[in-house]
Order: sequence, then C-alpha cells, then structure tokens
Amino acid sequence: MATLDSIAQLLISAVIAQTSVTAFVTNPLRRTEKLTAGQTLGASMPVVAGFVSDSNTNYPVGEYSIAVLHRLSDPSDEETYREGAMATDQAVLMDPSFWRVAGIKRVIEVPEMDRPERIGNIIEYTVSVQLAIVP
Amino acid sequence: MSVAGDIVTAVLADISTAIAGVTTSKEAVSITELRGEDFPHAMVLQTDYEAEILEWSQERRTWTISGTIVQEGGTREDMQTKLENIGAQVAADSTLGGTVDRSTFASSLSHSHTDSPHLFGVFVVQAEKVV
Repeated sequence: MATLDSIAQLLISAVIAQTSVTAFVTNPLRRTEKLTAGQTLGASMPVVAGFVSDSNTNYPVGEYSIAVLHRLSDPSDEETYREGAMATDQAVLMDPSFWRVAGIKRVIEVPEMDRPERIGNIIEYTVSVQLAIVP
Repeated sequence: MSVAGDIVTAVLADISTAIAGVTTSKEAVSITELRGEDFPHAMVLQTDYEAEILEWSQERRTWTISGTIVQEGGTREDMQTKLENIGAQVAADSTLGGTVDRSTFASSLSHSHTDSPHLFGVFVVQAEKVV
C-alpha cells in the first residue's frame, strides 16, 4: 500500500537517479547542514493536501516539494551551473511523467517551480506538485 | 599570515602597481617621519571585519580596509589620477590575488590646508568571501 512517505522515498530515489542531486538533507527545516563545494543536495517536504474522488474511490492527495540546493565551487560559477546542470535538472523535474512513480494514480497539479534564489554560494529552487496516491 | 593580512598585502600590491614609485606601510605613520623620497606614500589606517551567518552553515566574511595616500606637492588632479588608477587596478584584481570572492573600491580627495605641501587621498576597499 502506498503512503505519503513511501511515495516520498520513491521520488527521492528518482531524483537522485535522474538529476545531479546526489543525496537529500536530513533536516530541511533547520538548514544547518554544510554543503561542500560543487555539491547538489535535495530537500523533500511532503504534506497531505486532502483527497480527490474518482469512480467512488477516495485518493489521498500529497503535495510534494523538492528543493534542489547547489553550492557553487567558485562564486563565479553561477552562470555555468544555471545554464548547465540546473537547466537539465529542471527539465526533468518539470515533466509531469517524472512524478508518476509506482503508487501514483495521477498528477493533480502539474509541477510548478519557484524562482531560483542565491544566498551566499548556494543556489536553491523548489519544484512542487500534487499527486493522487493509490490507497 | 591571516586572511586580513593577505588582503592588506594584496591591496598594497595593487596600489604599488597603480602608482609609480609609491612606498607603502601596513599601519599608520606620521608624515613627519616620511622623507622626501618616500612620497607618494600609501598607508593602511584601519581594517574592519564582520561576519554574517547565512543559511546552510555558510558565513559571509567582510573586510573593510581604509587608508590614505599622501603626495608632496603636485596638484589635486594628480591625486585624483592616482586614486582612479588604484580603482582600475583593484577592479582588474577583484579577488585581491585570490584571497577573497570579490572586492570593491571607493576613494575621495581629502581637503588639505592651503599652506600644506601635502595632498591626501582617502581610499576604502571592501572585500567579501563566503565560506
């Protein structure tokens, strides 16, 4: 049986397999982990968003937000990263089919991405999507 | 040497490149101690440091180095040219020899007493590094 967390784990594995993200941070809310130069990490924040009905079945809806964090090797590397790995990763994450992992009934809200933000040497952006989970 | 020391050394090196025949001091000296051949002379008066904690255990470190250039005789235009040359040199060496991520330069001509044979230029270099 698929749960919010089991889907989150599948998505984490898919992100690591198909993007430049190499691992996920353990505590995305505290933001205290140290990223090494050139490293790209993910932060996963799933929340229950309600239910959707389809043919007499209620499907739980999960809102999944994946934050991608990249620490520049050098402050001047921003353009290279934005035009290279970041653009490639975003193309993967913005494709609705990426999110249809096992246990997903359908994509309720297509992926949305916020504007990438740079704080210090770390560039961060978040992709959010709403998925109906097969109970 | 400390990072601040490396930055001061790099700033003085840029000043030496920008102004022919300049002598430099890493601390304030009285112009009465300077001999005629020491002019023009650049000295560092003050170095300030502050650090700001950013997200994901980053730290933005900022150094502010201020100093003065003294010339004996000459015109205010001469001093203005010297300051502009230093600004151009720091802009070309914005990482200050690789010691920081980036730096900015500002300067002004100081008011001199009309009887004084010395002209003073004031400069400030702000250098930043994220670690």
